[in-house]
Amino acid sequence: MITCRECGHEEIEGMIFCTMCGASLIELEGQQAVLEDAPEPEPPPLMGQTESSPEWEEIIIILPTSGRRLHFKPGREIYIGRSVDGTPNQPEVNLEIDGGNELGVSRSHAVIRPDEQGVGIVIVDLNSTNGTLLNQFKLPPELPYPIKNGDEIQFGNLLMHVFLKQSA
Amino acid sequence: MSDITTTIGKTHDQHIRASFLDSGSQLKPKDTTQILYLLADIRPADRTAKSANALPLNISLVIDRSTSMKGERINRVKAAAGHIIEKLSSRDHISIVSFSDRAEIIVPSTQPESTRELISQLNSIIPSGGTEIFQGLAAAYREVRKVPLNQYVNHIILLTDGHTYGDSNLCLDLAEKAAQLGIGISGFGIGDEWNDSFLDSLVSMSGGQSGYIQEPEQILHLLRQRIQSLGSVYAHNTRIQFDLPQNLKIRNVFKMTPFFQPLKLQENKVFAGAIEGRTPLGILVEAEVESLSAGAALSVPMQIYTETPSTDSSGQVMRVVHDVLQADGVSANTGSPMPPALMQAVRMLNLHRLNENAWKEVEEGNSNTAAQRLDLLTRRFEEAGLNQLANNVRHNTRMLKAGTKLSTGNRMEVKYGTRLQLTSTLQSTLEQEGQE
Repeated sequence: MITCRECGHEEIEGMIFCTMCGASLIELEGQQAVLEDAPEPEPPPLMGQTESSPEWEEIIIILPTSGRRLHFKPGREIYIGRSVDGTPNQPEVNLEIDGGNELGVSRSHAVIRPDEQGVGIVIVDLNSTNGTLLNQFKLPPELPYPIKNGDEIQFGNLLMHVFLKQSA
Repeated sequence: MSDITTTIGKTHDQHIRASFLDSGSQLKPKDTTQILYLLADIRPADRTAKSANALPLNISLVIDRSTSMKGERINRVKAAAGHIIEKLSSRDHISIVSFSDRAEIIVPSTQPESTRELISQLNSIIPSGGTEIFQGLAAAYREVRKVPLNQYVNHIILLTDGHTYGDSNLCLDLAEKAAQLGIGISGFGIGDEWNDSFLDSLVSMSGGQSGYIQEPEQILHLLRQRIQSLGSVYAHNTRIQFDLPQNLKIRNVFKMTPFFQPLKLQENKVFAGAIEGRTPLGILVEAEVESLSAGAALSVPMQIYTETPSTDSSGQVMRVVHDVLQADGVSANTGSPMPPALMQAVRMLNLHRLNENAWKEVEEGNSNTAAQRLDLLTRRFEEAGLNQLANNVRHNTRMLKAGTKLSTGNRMEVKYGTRLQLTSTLQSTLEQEGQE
């Protein structure tokens, strides 16, 4: 028997997800044991707060294909792409283990960074082969687009989910 | 199943090819039971295969004309049926049956030549009476069998808005008999008062599809979609027979693509329906491995039976053996231990189950447990990037917490919405893999 880390349910071995609470029971390569402190989904920012409140505390990235969940502090550049072992200039978010190769992610695909004013957070497609989609909208390359809490971003065919956590 | 071509593994004269992904890397030598997942991807061997040489269709539409269908529902069904008749080719066969507590044959099995005349026959359908689905299905079954079945893609499509009374076992028996003959059944429920688990069982015999029609204006769209996918069939009447080793037992089998549907497993065999030209047929198997000794190999031999136009109406059997663990007990998986497509398929099954369990609590009136389960479901949908479904469930949870009774319609919307969303995600992954 294996015990679900999230709800304590005893599950038969070989199960991939807990039948009680649905949490992933296996550790994927490169996945931290973050399932325990999986944050509550954030409500979308209130009207008028989106632009004017720059106090983002954390960027949370969820990758459904692998179930990975990554946490970042905002205020710097986060490069997204894929790289095989040993290549120099590894992107910080390496989508190789999320099926990035099969799903058409470029080696240097996109970057998430603060906007010019340092107020919001933007994503820029780095002229990737298969493009970047923000909520189904294909972004023109090299141009910054603001991202909001709960946005869906797709690199080639790989889906990613972004949550922005406001500081209290 | 005469004149069977028997081959082992992949050969040049196979019409289909099958590839497999498994969770064997998670297995450990153990005396106790463990779970093994296996995802089969079955598709035309020739990547460029199109439906050009597809078989003609032999369709029977079974239309519920019980009193509750009165008004927009029946009018939309008639319009959709008329549209379908117009779109069929002259090689196809169509019959139309209406039923309440008895059945009438509106259009006997015919080739759609004088379409206008056929469409005018639809006007004779007048809603009144109860719902006895068996009457309708039995009449359709007789009509469909009027043509040589092996020269057609045979399918009965049921449109109903109600619960059937006292004859559901007869319906299931008929569905099983139909599947044996290569006749598939799909069923669509209109509105909120029909029995979705009954329709699921009905179609699970033949690998057909069940669906939810929330608003009458969706009837045409869903019906057309079903006919279109039947029209792009490359091989049909797919059956998978698992020849399991002693220590392996199958728990459940699901069709994952081109649509999600639980399949009925009988004597280690499933009827999986059609293989469409473009979309691979994805089958997920959940099995129990009972006691695995160290260093033991584990293989799953199976026979995949299909019929294609070019097999001259007799079926073809492909024998394949999928190795899960090699002789040294090591997973035969190369690459990542949990391949993304398998992970997606299992995640999809997981969401389907969480969904069913949560709504079961809703049905049983356990509001607190139900709300907790729905909250979890919302979170899992979010993790899977399915925002719309997450929002939908969140809305339902709020209503439940506020003391509102959730309707069957709320449940169906999420249930069928989940099926559609999850399938499309997995489908694109499988299609990508096929292009490599």
